[in-house]
Amino acid sequence: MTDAKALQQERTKLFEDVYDGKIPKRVPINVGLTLEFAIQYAGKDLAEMQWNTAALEEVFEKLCQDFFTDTNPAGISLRNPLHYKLLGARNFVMSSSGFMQHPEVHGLEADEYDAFIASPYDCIMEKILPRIYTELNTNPVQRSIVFAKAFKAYWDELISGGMMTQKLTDKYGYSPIGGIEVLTEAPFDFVADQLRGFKNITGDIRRYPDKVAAACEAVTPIMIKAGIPPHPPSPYGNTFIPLHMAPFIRDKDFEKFYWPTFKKLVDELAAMGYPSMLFVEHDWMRYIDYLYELPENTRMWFEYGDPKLVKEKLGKKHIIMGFYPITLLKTGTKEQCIDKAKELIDILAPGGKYIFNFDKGIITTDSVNIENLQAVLEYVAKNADY
Amino acid sequence: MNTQYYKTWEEYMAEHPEIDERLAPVMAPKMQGYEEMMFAFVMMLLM
Repeated sequence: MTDAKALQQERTKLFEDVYDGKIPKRVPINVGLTLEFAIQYAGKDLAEMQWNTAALEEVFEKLCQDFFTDTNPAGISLRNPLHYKLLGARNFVMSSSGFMQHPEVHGLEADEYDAFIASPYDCIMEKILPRIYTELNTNPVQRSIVFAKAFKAYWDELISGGMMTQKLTDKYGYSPIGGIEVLTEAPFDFVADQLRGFKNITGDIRRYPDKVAAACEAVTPIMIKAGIPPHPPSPYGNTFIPLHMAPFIRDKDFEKFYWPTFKKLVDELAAMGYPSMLFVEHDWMRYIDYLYELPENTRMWFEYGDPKLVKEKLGKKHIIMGFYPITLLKTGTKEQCIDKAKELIDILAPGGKYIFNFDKGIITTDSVNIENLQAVLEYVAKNADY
Repeated sequence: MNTQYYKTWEEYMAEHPEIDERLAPVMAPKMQGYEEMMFAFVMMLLM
């Protein structure tokens, strides 16, 4: 067996043990570094490299060589500019610096809630997509041509990127499990994000509460379907659900609009054998008791909050990730950064069910001190044995 | 899903009785695979 293969088996076992509720040999590390970070770190032009994705292997290789993780740190971007440009996207637009910006948009008008509730997918295809993607707002023939090009571009790029990262996963002996497989959203977040927009949805829950609740109900089966990975059920999979709006709404609105369909989503995926990985964005401490109610072994990646409280309330049932503040990697000394890793491991690692990760993705190289980042990863790799 | 823009294989078969039963099992994963890819693409456009 090659060294890489043996290493891969060892790393895979770390994640299997955590997901199986066993104590692993060491705290696994699942740190993905963003495509933007990777390109900047390799000293390449951000805009050019996102168009020239065939050249990304060299960029990803450098990440694999310089940063210790147990899963492949190189992530392909869902925000590939190619299909967005072909579609005339208003929701994702490349800035002059090369970053894909996400302007506030809305594709559903308030007087279209009834049409959306009657058939969310028809409404998406007929009304919402042509509004957000300007090149689709044309005659049926031209629309078909644009859609065909964008569909092919999206899958071509995704598949070639996947093959590239798979090659590096095998070469460097990363665990093939532990990462993200498919993406879906909490139904309320889906309605809020690009259908009604952040500003509109906060008014809608007062003006049209029944329609908002019905829209969330109507779209739930679609969000469940979107969250099913293209493989048989596995306790080692991860359906990624980034959670957005809950910290920005009142408790009673959370209870009425957010929680019921979100819980149904996670419950039904779990019942089919597909565990969810939640990115618990911002601070969910006021909802911590709700999180406990989710199916056992739901993966929860926390941004902010109280790690001690989370360990105490959720740590025996769910799998905890996150909390390490990437801001410290910029402002702290190497010693302070390592002390923070030690502090979090002391709190979160006992009893297992813990995977080391930062509180969010690192988007730019100048948002952290690279030496601190490397020192923290090395510290966890060498000092977080059980 | 209550939509005219996504069909399961069974729904597709019901609309296409001309399909040879012998070929249906080999056609299904390919045909339905593209249906699923289109669904995944559409959803990604709004996430």
